Amino acid sequence: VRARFPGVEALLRRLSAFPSLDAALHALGEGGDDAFAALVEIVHAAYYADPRSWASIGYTTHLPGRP
Amino acid sequence: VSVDAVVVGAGAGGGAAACVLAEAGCSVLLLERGDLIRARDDPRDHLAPLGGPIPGLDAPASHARPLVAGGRPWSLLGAVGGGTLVWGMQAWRFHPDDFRMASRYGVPAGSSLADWPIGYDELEPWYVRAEHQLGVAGDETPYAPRSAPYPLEPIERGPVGDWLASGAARCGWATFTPPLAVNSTAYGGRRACVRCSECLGFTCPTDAKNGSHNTFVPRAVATGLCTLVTGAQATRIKTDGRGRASGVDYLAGGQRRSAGARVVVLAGGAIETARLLLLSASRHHRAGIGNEHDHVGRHLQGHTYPVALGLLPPGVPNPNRGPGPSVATTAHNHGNPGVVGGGMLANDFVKTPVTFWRMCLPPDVPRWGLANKRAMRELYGRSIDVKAPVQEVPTPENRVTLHARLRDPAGLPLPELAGAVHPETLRTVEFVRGRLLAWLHASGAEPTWVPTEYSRGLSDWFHQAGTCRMSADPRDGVADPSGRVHGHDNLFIADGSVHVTNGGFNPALTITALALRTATDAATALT
Repeated sequence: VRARFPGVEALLRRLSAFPSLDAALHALGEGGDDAFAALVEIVHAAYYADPRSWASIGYTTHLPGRP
Repeated sequence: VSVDAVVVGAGAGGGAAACVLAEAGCSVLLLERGDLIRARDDPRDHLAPLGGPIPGLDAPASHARPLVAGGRPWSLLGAVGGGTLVWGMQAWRFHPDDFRMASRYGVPAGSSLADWPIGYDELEPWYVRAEHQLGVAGDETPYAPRSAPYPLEPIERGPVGDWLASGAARCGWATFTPPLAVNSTAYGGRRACVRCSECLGFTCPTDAKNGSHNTFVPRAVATGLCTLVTGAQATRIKTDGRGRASGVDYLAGGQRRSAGARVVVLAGGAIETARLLLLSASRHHRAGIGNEHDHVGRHLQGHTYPVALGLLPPGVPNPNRGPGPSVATTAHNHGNPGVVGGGMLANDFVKTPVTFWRMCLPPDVPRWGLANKRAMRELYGRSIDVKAPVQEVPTPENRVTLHARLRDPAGLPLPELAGAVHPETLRTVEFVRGRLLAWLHASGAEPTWVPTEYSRGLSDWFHQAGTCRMSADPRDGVADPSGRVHGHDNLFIADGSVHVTNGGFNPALTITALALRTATDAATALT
């Protein structure tokens, strides 16, 4: 994520100012924070590009030796 | 080096052109900026189709990518086979009316809509050759006459295809199996498709997908007359004072090289071919080769894709097996009330999970959190999407130019893309989107939705065409009806840049058919 989103460190510093992670995420999401939206995009892309996530939604390649 | 012919680009058009020339007994130098990629080298990175660099498959880092005005990089594949290495295999013939758009619809204000100088009948025999030499599986072409059957039986339609065909029938639309350049049975010395789900955006793991890389290019090289040089970037077309092309300068292995040729064939695609003609300006051709009437780089077009999604009813299994497109209708390519043209409607390829998350969720689903995860789990395996490549109304302002400041590592100006989709195209897109939703409703999908992202503004990021369009009159285009650059009798173009309009279909088969025809003319001139 850091490689694709150089602003992640600054965003993490902002998160640390909130009393809880849940409160921080909702505040950023509801506030229409552009940096947060970009981070959500990148994290989801990384997550669903990872074969370990595929079983959770029922995707398979139908290829031997490949999830 | 001196050869009979230099071919620039080993994609859908260049591979076919090199094959024709080499098999006619001509010595050929085939220059490809990318590498020869094997399936085992494909990283199968699901992030790749999102418009960013494709690791191992995109243009090599040393070959900078073009920029859209505003700075967004444009993804262009660089590999032997070009786009056909990772394409979705849809091998469509254009509709006869695609060749006469201006006659049928008039010329909308601000557009450069025009008829082709050739018609469907002229191209039909070359479509047959392309289908047989490439290997296309299909059943019929109900919108246009054909003189020979497809060489391969169609891929089995499956339950989703049957369900969508029933829905189309309730709308009164005829359906058929989309033609796919894939081995439904063993063909061309290669195996049949195993129906995996990694087709579009991937190399084929079993080599059952047919493209220039495993058909035309190997045939050309097998003659012993064609030398394929990978990692080679053409930098300039050389001409003599009389306008004849005398060869090509290029970079390979970090060295500047030059090849003399009796014929030069450009097949770098609509962006790079236009760029090379512009880069080849000289005191004899101050605005670039073939640009006496300021058409090189203009009329850039692709396809704008409306998409609709819906949830399959219980009892209709979605096996999510490739290749994906299994049913199509051409009921809305032409004759749509009040709009210009249209497009072929078909179901889509198997979506990778990341593509589904990014582009296919209903607009009211939150982008993150528990509700998002739940939607992914509930919708991925039960949803279906249909889409259509709406043919675009070209304009002279949609164009490729040389960037005023930015240079690639070779010191050459980057290509810059500018323009916007014509309003008539957007009207057609809205109409076709309504037909897509009607198809899903009639099939029994509930609910249906349209994704929030379906277009990137300036055309899309593939199917580029039109930047060196053919014309009977040199004042109206860049190439003559045979693909020869006006005023340059040994300089040919064999890629999508010669398309006057781009049809309501995926254009690769038309590129290949035209390349076979153009290269045959070039070979005749040589021999």
